Amino acid sequence: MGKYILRRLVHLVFIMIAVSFLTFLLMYLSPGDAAAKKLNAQGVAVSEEVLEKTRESMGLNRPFLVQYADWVLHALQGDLGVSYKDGFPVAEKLYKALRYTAILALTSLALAFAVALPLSILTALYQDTLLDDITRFFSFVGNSLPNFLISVLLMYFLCVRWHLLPLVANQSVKGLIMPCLALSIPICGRFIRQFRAEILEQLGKAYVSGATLRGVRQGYVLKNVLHNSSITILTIVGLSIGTLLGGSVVVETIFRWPGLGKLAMDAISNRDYPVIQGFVLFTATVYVLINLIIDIAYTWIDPRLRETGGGS
Amino acid sequence: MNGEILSVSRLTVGYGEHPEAADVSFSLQKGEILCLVGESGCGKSTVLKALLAAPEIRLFDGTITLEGQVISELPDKERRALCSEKMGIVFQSPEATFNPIRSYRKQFIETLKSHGRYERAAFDGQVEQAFLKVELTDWKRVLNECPYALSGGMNQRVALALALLLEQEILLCDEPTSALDATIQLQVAKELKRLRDKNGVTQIIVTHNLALARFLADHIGVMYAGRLVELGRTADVLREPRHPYTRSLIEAIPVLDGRMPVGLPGSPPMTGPSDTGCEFCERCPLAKEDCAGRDYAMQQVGDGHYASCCEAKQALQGAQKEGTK
Amino acid sequence: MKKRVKTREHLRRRLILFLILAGILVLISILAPLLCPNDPNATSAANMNKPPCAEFPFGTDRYGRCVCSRVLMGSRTSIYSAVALVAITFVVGMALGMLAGWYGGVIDTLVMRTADVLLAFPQMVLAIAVAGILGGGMGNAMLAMGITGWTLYARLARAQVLALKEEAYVHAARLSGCSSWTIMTKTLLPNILGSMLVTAATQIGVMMIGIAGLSFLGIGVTEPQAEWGSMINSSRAYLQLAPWAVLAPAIATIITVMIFNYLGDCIRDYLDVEGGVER
Repeated sequence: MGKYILRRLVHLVFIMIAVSFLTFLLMYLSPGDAAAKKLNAQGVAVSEEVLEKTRESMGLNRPFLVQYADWVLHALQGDLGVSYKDGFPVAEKLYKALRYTAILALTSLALAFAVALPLSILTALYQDTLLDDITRFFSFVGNSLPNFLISVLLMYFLCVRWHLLPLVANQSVKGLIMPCLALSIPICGRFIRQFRAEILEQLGKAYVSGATLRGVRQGYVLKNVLHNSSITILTIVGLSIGTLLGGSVVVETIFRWPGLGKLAMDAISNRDYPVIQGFVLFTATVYVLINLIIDIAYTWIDPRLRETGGGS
Repeated sequence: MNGEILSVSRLTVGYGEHPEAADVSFSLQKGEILCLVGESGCGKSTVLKALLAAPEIRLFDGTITLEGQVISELPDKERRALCSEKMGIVFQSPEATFNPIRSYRKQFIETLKSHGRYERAAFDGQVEQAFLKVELTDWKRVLNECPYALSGGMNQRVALALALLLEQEILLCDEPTSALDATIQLQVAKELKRLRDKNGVTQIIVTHNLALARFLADHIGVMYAGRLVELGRTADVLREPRHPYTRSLIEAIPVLDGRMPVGLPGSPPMTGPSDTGCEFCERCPLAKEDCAGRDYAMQQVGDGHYASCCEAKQALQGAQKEGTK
Repeated sequence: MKKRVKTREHLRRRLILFLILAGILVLISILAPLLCPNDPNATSAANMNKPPCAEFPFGTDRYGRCVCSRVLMGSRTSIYSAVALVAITFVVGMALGMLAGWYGGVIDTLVMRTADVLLAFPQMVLAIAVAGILGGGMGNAMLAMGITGWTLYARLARAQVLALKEEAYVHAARLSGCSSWTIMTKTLLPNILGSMLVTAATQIGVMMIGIAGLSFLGIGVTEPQAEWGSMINSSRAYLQLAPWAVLAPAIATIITVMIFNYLGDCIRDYLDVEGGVER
């Protein structure tokens, strides 16, 4: 087990090197001159002199790999550069916004999961009943709705038509409702479909009929089924984190929720490249770490994976 | 009929629209072992599952009597509860009996709790006893392992241990040794025999292995295309088989002295018992013209020995007349 | 199980129905210029935010443009871009995956490690970053979505080829002297096509939503080109005044995505294959 974790950590290091390289490359290759972008973002008029000076001070004349190494070294110490727009350290901005995104993402995930798991179990056990048909219809619809669309529709009905919620989100619980719904509805729809499929597959396996014939109570049989299903369920949840992080950009922007997503979108509008860079690096790191934890959790659920090393 | 523990009469069962096995009748005394033999698709596993009241099996006709009570009349749930209480199972692969990735300890506790027989304090001691009875001395380690990590032979013995734990008087086994290596097969077979000898466990073992039947069984039932074609004491059936199919089964066994086994042309039907006629007549060397139309019936051809081939009875009567028997 | 047997015919009819529906959508997107009642780009101060009427079946937006015409032209953008994108990523991903699975070794490591790294980023985060940095436009939006889009097909194709490689008939083909190309096209390809198509059909909806999302944020297809996502964005400030300007493209998006998603389900049910894990 220890060996497996070690192997995964080594793999993690490689992935992070590649991720950081790609992120840096992305910025490096972006059209336009970095110094000009910085000055433009600050609204400073650009002359050749100022441009050259800025380039020097930004270290843009050094070879690519040196710039990359420098950036990585700083990043490892928690220094992700400063914003082009207002000069604040990127890391600080990310940190401040992180709290809001974490609240939004975790609430949405918890909501989606809490609704989806019982429904998927019920519809798997009671296939082809009215409950099953209705649930499958709604989860299909939910899965097909883009989150920006849900956001706008929620705004229209809950704020404009029925005046249930304020249009401008304050950072309170009330303000959390709409963005949370917007994120969790499509994810919930997907969860129900995929959890149900997995549970159905497990229910058809030999050990389930074996347990029934041994006289094991339904409750325990279900416990076994859920245990064996949890690998796939965890995979699905892990993938949904990526969807949440991406979806937060749209939803936070629409509802003005001051999280990482809004930060990134504002940075894109302002051409504030260090912030964009920091955002991409940060979210990728979080995503990779969460998937690593899930990978390790697999081996706890299905010990057979410890030897083979799990995953694809 | 004093010691009779389980009997079926004209049992007709199947999965869907058509029965897979029909008119199966036999009776077991306490402590006896019956082996149902036959090739794949003959319906022997279906009969076993029907006895266990598996939810996917439909009871078309016939009765099942357990310890004097006609259980086939009971509502499904009750019958299932009764069967799982009294009858233990051992299947060909451990995955068909247990969850491969959870420890035996957890699964044992769940099973015991479901039967209302779990006592936390006594559990370890009871498990140790049961495991020892099936020669699993390393009981602590085995209990905490998951089925996938143990060998086939060990898994089968764990299944037997569970039956002992649950104090189940009847054991139903479906190809218990078929997936095991040759030497392990003998070990498990010996365990089964010991279970009967020492603990009086009645057993019905489904197998295609005649040698296992010879080693273990008190009675052998030969099935073909969903019907019992011969039933009797092991010695009788194997020494003097009265049904042409039984004869061909025996002749087809490979022997190590260089003799070529004699096969039978064609293959067994996969469609289950038909309404009329002997299913075997297409391949039967003794077939006469009217075999295809005759009704199925088990005729007595000896003391406790039955066969469904009319030729057999006639041949017997003929031999008796000539004073050979 | 009795339900299965009875509904094979039912599945076939359902599949044909949704193929026709999807075909109609594609047809509409192709014929859009001919179907527009008005010029989609014609602004008119006099006609701003008009409710649906005879002249403007879906009303007008805040610039006085005909919403119906824009929705129709938007179908071109949305459907065409999504289908084209899926087609490209499908071919590229499947080819790479098959090569990786069949030849193994360096090719396999290269393809799979690249996929691993790309998949380390949440798909939309990377898409937003790429599109945001490159600026707007349909090409950039498609590139942004396509960067990670091919990985799904590559992984699926590779996994299936790896499994099929061990099959007896593949060994037989090899032994009888067939070239790798022949084996891949004649033997492997037909066998993996089923689940690949299911994935592709479901991905059309995903890509459509992705591009619409990018356009909504202003970093995909930009004004004045008609695209459902950007239409929703530009009209949402006037939600109270002219809800039809938002609802029309919204409903169009929902219906289109649902039809393609359901098509994917139908293909999967009919072919009785797994679709893999949806992203």
